[in-house]
Amino acid sequence: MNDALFSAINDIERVAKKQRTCSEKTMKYLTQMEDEIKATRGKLAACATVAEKDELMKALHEKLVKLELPGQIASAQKDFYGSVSRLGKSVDKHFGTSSFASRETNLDAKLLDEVIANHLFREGQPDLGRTFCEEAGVSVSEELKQSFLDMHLVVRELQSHNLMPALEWVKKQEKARQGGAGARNSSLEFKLHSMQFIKLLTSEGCKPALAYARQNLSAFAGSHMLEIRQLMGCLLYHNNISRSPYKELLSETHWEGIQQDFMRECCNVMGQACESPLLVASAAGALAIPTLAKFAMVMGKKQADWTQMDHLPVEIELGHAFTFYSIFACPISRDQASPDDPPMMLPCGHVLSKQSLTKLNKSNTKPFKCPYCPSEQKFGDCKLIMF
Amino acid sequence: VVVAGRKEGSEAERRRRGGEQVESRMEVVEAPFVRVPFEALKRAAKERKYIIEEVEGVMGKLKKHASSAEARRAKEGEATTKDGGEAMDVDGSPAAAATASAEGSRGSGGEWESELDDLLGTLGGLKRKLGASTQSEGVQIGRCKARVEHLLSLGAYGSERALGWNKKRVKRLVVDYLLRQGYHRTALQAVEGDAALGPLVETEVFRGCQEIVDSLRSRSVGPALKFCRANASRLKRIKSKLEFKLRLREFLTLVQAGSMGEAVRYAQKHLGRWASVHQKELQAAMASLVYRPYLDSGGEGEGGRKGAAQERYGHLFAAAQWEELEKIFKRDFFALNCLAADAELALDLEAGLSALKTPMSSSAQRSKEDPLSVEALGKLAATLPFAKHSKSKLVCWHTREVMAEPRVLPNGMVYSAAACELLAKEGKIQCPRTGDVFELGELKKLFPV
Repeated sequence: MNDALFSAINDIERVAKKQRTCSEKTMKYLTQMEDEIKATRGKLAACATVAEKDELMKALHEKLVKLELPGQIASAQKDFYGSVSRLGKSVDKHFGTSSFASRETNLDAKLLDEVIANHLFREGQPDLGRTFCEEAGVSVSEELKQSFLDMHLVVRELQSHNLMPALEWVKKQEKARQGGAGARNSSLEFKLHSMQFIKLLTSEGCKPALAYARQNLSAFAGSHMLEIRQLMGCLLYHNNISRSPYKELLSETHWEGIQQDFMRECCNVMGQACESPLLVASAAGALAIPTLAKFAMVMGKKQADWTQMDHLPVEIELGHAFTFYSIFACPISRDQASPDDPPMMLPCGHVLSKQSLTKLNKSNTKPFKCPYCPSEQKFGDCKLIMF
Repeated sequence: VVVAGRKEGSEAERRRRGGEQVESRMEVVEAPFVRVPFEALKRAAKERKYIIEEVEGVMGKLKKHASSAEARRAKEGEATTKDGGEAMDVDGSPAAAATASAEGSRGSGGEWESELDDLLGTLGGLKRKLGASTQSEGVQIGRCKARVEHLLSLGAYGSERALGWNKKRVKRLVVDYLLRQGYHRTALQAVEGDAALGPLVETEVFRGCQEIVDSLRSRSVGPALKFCRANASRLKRIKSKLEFKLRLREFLTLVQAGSMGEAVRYAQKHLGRWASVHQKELQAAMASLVYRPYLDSGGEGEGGRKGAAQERYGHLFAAAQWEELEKIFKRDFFALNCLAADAELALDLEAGLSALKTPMSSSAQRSKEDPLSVEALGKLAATLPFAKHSKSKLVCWHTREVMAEPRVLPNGMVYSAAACELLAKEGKIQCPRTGDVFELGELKKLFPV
């Protein structure tokens, strides 16, 4: 694909070059024509007799004919058209024509507008979000808007390498959590502290950095000992970390990474998804569309559109980032587990869907045999499980 | 070792091939994106043809002048040798020769000058046209380039990088959607805020579309008809019904207003040529002339004709017809400009929501990470198919990792062995979902495969 794109860029640049040449030539010749005519015009005013004027006209015509203007322009133009059609061929070859271009969805615009409004606020574009809400006539809860605004304030500070607001936020969360249950996200806190340590080390020197480390990093000795050791190693090079084995710690990617990590944690605490739902859903779609398009092409017009089906006709492998639940497909019925048809565990440890289990039990009156290990089981001993 | 190496080789190869295959199918999604400015470039380039033709026209005129000057000179040469009187040119045009000689004796320099001025005017106009053409071509070439470069910058496309890949394109997808829905203020604000977005979206094209849509919404067909006339041949190529529908709509509006005579005259003037192509529809509309008065009448009288009229012809006058007209216009407009019929964002969402839809998404145990757990998205997905899964894919609820060695607690909850190790405290384990505490010994091994 990349090769196709590179060759497309080459073709476009060729088109640009030919177009410039063609335009310049045409303009040049037109100007020449103009100049000659202007000159003749001037001379005409000067001369007296008709005969002289006729002579001038003839001379003008001959001169212009000699320049072969139309011919020159035409050839430059042919060159240009040639390059354009070549680009066209390469576009056709690599992009083809897709049936998807004429496809129309039936998505409810109002609902989609709601999703987009949320997305805009979440992505740190509140002005755009407000304009959109006005124009489209949708609204987002004020509370949510404010939470996203606050989040992005901290992110902007992180962008200018200021870790303090983020650290304050973490402290606030810790305090709020003292009461209830819930896992402490030590990895975000640790990252923040270690970046602050490096920052202090490069800006203020060993002593303040060490004091900071003693105060804040010691709590993480149990979980992040390896990283702490590395950070301590930096103390040796406090004057020129950029030439030390630890120079990677100064890289900008850490700053970008910490922004992402902070946003994820912040959304998590808010009870929101870590990534924009619009982003995730459309990414899944971009992965799914080629397979669906191929299916539609293979099936032709006979098959109903896939949106009319109960289940998608093809399996689409999306990857770990899109897996939010366990999928259990009963080995017997090949059906997906659902709240109506949950997985059941047999005493022997094997798992079947409830429907398959019920079917097996119906066929005999005596205890049935597990399909995997031939041990006998009783229906009552089977337990509903949740993955 | 040899066996392991070979296996790994084929696995890597299969993965690479799989990745390539998926990559090469991304065009399905992105095709209109590159095609639109290219088609616009082609159209702009065609304009140049006319410039050449006009240049040739100028040359032709000059030639004519030059040859008539030549002829006159020859004629005058003859006149001086012959004795006055009427002289016949070799070309045999005595009248022309006579007038030429008459003018010649008057001193016809003036006519040359004004002719030349004309030609200069034409040339000036051509230069301006050329400038405009060059500029619009340049713009389109720039857009083509920007878009291909954008696609290159997206990088590899595949399930591992899908989120990062999509982040770079979602901005333009949103702006494209905004433009299509007519939210121009927001779209403009977005484009102003991000310089890179400009060449990636069709702001101008959609603005033109919106103007006509607005006119249709205010029940006026003028701009739309202008559009039809300007693009008559291309609309014909795609077998567009737009002009017919517009004319029909105007006719029916006249009928609805009660001006029957005018309506008939209108039909005779404008609808006649569609008689064979859209016969049935035309006949139904013409019939409405007869039934229109009944639609207004007070009671049910006259043998229930109002009912019949309403049933058969009422819909022709409904407001929904204008919405239908808007849809038809949009469809044809998009087709002419090589735009996709619907927003890419909508297409992606439709497919994506379906691919993500599982029965769990609407259950009480839904995960907040699941886009379908958002109310609006869940509603959008309500009519879409469920995803198809023929294989189990078990993920530990606690660690979110692929389930390696499942263990089941007495309450039926399942976690991976690794999760159980993390959760274990002093020989006891607390279920993260229900809070019940169990002894470690109560864990049982599970074999879901």
